[in-house]
Formats: sequence, structure tokens, C-alpha cells
Amino acid sequence: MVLRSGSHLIIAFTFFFFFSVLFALSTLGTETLLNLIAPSGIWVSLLISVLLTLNKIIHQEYENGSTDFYLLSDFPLEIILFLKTIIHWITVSLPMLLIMPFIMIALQIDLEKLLVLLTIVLIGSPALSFVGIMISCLTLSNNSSFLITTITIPFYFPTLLLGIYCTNNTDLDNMSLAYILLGLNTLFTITISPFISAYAVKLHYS
Amino acid sequence: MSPKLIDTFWEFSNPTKFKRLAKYIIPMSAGIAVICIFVGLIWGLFYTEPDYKQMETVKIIFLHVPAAFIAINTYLMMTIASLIWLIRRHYISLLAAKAAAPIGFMMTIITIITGSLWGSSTWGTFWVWDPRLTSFAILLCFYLGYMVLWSSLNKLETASNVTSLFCILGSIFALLSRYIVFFIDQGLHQGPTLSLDEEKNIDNSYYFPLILSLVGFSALSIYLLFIRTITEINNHRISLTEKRVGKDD
Repeated sequence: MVLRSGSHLIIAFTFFFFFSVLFALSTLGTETLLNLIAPSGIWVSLLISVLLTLNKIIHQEYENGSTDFYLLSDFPLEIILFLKTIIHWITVSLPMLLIMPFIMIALQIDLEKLLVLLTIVLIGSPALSFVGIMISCLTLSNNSSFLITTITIPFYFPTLLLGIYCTNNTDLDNMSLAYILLGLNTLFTITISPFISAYAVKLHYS
Repeated sequence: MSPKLIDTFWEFSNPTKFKRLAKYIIPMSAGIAVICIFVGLIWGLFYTEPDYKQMETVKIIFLHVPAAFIAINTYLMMTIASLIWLIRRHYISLLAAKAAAPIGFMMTIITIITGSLWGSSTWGTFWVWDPRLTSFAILLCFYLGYMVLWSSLNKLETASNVTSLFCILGSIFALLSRYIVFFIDQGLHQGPTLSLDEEKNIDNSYYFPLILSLVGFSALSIYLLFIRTITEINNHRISLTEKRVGKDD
């Protein structure tokens, strides 16, 4: 169903592209600056694009009443939300990961670093979806993407900080701990997200 | 805690009993706050020797440290209050959490302003992305998010549940980001100098006024908290009454 209503996918995709272009253009005339901030630019554009799609996942179903049926059925709500988050990641973050190499080349990132950067984004990006769904479940009754964006950004700090730290320092030697921490952060969010979001959805019906 | 004390605590979910308690607490905390802040600041600002290196600017410590202490502990208090609301539906605790947010927010702002004034004379810059400054910026974001969430949801029942959950999650993620920030960079701040361990403490001439002003700020925040909680209770009663009157019409 998310795939069928694929309009948000295109919007997010376009937004990611535009934001990267904006990032590149904001450093016009100074090549070295672009080299320095390009990895962070990738993270920030990915984050903004994910944020803008969040109110399309669970809010529409809350409004058209699908969530009522989820609650009525015997199937655990946690698993439904977990699968929904996975779908969100596959439909939003994964396509961006696919075009990311081309954008990275346009942002003057070295070809040797490219694979490492992609791996880091691959490790870190599920956390964006999981945290995003968890927080957007809090605002089920208010379908404004402005509100969701405002209250979700603080929760992105751990992922964003670690991700940017990893991508900016790929040439250092002792970075394995940071990669492990990024992975742990993702695992942590995957673990708590379905339970918290199910709890939040149930709070709306109590 | 003895069972009797716990029972008394639950008793205060009754607004009338809470108000009766507040009648004693408010003047008491106000008195303590005025005396401690007055004495602490006067003592700290005028009767201590200036630092050999930082000169007079070091005395910002008497505002900076207590404000930071309150800013962090207010969030802790909000988390505990939200937990109590979600578990026991302790109604005053929810309104106390709501009332505490602006206090913590203002204390965070005060910390940042005094800190940047201090930094401008000692580090030569108003703001650097030092770990502690970053943590405070993040804390500010969480306070803002909490207040935005309160103001944007209309139904009280949902808003209270959701903001409580937000607050608890926020404390987890704020702690996470704090440790990550410290993992990334060690920063410019000095290590902790106020602890129960006597040897690490700063010099006594600074220690006592600082403690006085800490106590004063705590009393001040308790005073503000009680006043704001009572305002929230009254607001809530008014809205309930309006709803009932509306139904009768």
C-alpha cells in the first residue's frame, strides 16, 4: 500500500536531490569547503528527506481507520509497525542509497572513500526510519509535517552526530569503535522502536 | 522510604490537599531562595578574592553553575513526573511536569548566556561547539520540543500521555547524545570540581557561596514550580468547568 501511494517517494527523492545541489551550490567558488562538508551534506539531506515522508506512513492509516483494525486483529501491533518501518526504510532510504554514489561524485568525494561512506550511511540510515516512526506515532492526532519535523529532530542527534563523525574521519585509523557505536545505535533504535510506537498508538485509543 | 511517606505522596494527587501543602511550601521556599541567593551572590561577588588568572570574570560561576544544575535536574524531575503519570495516573505529577518545562527552558537560556559571557573573556569566543555547550543546545531542543508538543495537541488526554512519553524518550536520547558528544571530543571545560569527595573541590572561599547559591536556585525553582503547578491546576479546572457548562447549554 505504501508502494501504491508512491507519491511521497518521488517527493523525498526529488528533495534529496535538490538539497544536495543546494549544499553543493552554497559552497560555490571554494572547492576545498565542498570537500570538507560534502559528507555532512549527504547526512543532512538524507535526514530532511526522511523527515518529510514520516507523516505519510502511520498518519494516513490512523485517519482512514486502518489502525483500528490492526488493534482489533489478534496480530501484534508491534510486528505490524516493525514491518511498516522496514518498508519505510526500503522505499525511502534505499533508493537514495542507490543514487548516492552519483551525488557523491558530484560533491567531489574521492572514489576510494565512496564505498566506505556508502557503508556508513547503510549502517546508520535504518536508525533514521526507526526513530522517525517512533516519534511520529506520538503525534497521530495532529497530521502536520511541521510538528513532526520539529519534535523529531532532537531525537536524531545521536545518529546524526555519530554518522557525521564517522563520515568525516574515514581516513583515521582507530575508527572501529565509532563504527561499532553507530551500529549499536541502530540496533538500539530497532529494538525499542516497535514497542514504543505500539505503546504510543495504544495511548491514542485509551 | 517508609510506607507511610509513600501513602502521603499519593495523597497529593488530590488537588485540594496539594494546595494545602503548597500554602506552606511556597512562602518557605521563597524565603530560603531570597536569603540564599542574596547572601550567596553578595558573598560570592563582593567578598571573594578574584582568580589570579581569570580576574573578576570567574565570579560568573555563582550564576552559571546553579543555573546549569537546575536546568539538568528539571528535566530529570520532568522525566520522573511523567513516569509517575504514565504508571499511576498521578494527576498533579503530570501538571507539575508541564509547569516545570518553561522553568528548565529559562534556566538553560540563563546558563547559555552567562556561559557565553564567561567564555568571551576567558576563551575569547562566545560560542564553540564544545561537548558541554553542544549538550546544552541539545537539551534546549528537547525543552522546545516538549513545549511545542504540549501546545500543538488539543485533546488533554492524548496530549498528556504523548508528552509524558516524549519526555521519557527525550531523557534517554539526550543522555545518549551527551555521551556520544563526549566520545567525539573532550572539550575546553574543566573537570568536575564540585563533588562529595573533599580533595577535588575548589577552594573553600568559592565553595561555600557556590553551595549557598545552589541551594538558593533550587529553592527558587521549587517556588516557581509550585506556583506554576497551581496555575496549571486552576487552568485545568476552568477548562473542565467550561466544558461542563457548554454541555448543559
